[in-house]
Amino acid sequence: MLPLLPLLAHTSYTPPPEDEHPSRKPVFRMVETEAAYTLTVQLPGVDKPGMELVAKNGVLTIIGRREWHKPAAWALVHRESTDANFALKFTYDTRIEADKIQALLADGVLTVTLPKSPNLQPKQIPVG
Amino acid sequence: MRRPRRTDSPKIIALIIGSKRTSLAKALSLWVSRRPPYESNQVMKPIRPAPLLTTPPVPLDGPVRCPLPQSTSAPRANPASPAQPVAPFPVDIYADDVRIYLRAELPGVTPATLQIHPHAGHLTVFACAKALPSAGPTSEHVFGRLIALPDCETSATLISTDYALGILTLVLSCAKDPELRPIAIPVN
Repeated sequence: MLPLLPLLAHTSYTPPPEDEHPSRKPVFRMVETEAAYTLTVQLPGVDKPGMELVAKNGVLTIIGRREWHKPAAWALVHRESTDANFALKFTYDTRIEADKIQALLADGVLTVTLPKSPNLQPKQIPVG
Repeated sequence: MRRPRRTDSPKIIALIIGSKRTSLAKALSLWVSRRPPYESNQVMKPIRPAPLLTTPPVPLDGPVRCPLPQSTSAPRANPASPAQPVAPFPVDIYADDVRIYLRAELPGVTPATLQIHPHAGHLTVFACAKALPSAGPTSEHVFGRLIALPDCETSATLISTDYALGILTLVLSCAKDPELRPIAIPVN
């Protein structure tokens, strides 16, 4: 049986120098099926223009930027959220079909489907 | 007579408690030394309590069970099964002169399952997160929290609710206690 982690190993994210805002790791969950890995990331407050999803050189980078400005009349009483961007980075190898990665953002949850290479999927071998 | 110094505290406390246990005396001395200095002319400022934000161990209106996803047509096998664990969520509270604004991070929630209950000075929020398509109904979970409303002793009135991008925004109005309401006194 193939181990899961070597295929999609989570690594710590180092923000690029041009990114001025601090970042934090969002809550995420990875589920494996026969055909694909499904990654679910909680990104509350992130809309589609603020979403950056890049798969390059075996690295999947997820950045979510939040754009909400407090109305001037509102006075802050208590705060638990932050303005920091969400950032997450995964490495993958050739067993993931990078060209067929699909993503859907709905209600602050990003769902990324990473299909497995056909070589990994079960095949029925005819016996002659 | 020499005025006692702070370094004399363990000896003094040991004398007071009549014990030769210097460790106990030192601990008491440390506690005394860490207390803020008290000045006789110091005016004690009233401390405004921070909003109490806790997760209720059990929902106030009975156990919360999220409905099964639409794809599962079979009814729940055991309706009397224990309630699902309740997960807390971050909350921001704002206010102006008349209203309280609450922003809660509730990603992936089904808006129809939102339960908002204002009661005396508090607000209870529950919501069911959608199940992941690939993970099945076990991935469904409940968000829930008991939130103390600042400067609101009575039951707040919910004015509006908005859910977008995984963030729930509530606008509340709180009727102030007549004793706490500022009264303008005319000066002749």
